[in-house]
Amino acid sequence: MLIAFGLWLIDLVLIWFGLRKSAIGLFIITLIFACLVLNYHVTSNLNIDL
Amino acid sequence: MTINNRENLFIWLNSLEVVGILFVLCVAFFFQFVLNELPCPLCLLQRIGLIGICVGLLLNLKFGVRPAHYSLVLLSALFTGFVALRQVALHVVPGTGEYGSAIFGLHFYTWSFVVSMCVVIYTTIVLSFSVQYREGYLKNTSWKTVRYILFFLTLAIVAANIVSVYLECGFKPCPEDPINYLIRW
Repeated sequence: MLIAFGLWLIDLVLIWFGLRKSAIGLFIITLIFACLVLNYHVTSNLNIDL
Repeated sequence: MTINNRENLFIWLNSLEVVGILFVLCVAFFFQFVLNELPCPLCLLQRIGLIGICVGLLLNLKFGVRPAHYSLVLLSALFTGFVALRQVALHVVPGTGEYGSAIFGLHFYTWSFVVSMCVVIYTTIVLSFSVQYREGYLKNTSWKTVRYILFFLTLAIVAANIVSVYLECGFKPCPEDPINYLIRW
């Protein structure tokens, strides 16, 4: 979770400094990371392997 | 209505949406720090998705309104909706319990699903208006002030979330049903 929020902080810094493409790239990476975290929390409760 | 007023309208709508999402995150902080209802991992993931919606809208306010920015807003809103729906499904069967307080009869995760679906529907409609994709509004200095205020408010909310998550979980995976903060100060 800390990593995901930290990535948003870095993304805001990139937007502030006008780095649009880097900000969009990091945006996608952050969303993918959040999906991985969601996958971990869902499968850890179900005891299944997706 | 002149063309400039139409462009300003969409910038106002983007700004109001950022304010709305930040308000939702502030309400979550109120329940966490005043009523001592700590967020679970799924709650934190919903906060991450809502912040993603804000960041997508800030891209519009900083670099100009573009369909690509709206698509990022949609992706974040869909992610938030998926997580919220997962949490709703965990508690929808009678007898399975609930998590957190209810606001007007609905819990946070249900409201989160409603808000994210509203963002999806609103963004889908708004991105179809081509007048907003003209350049020129960035020269208006009054919008720069609004942009700065919204940017720093979002930055403050993200920083507060980082501190909150660190106090609750440290560097370990967050507990499924948190009761107390892991790090006390």
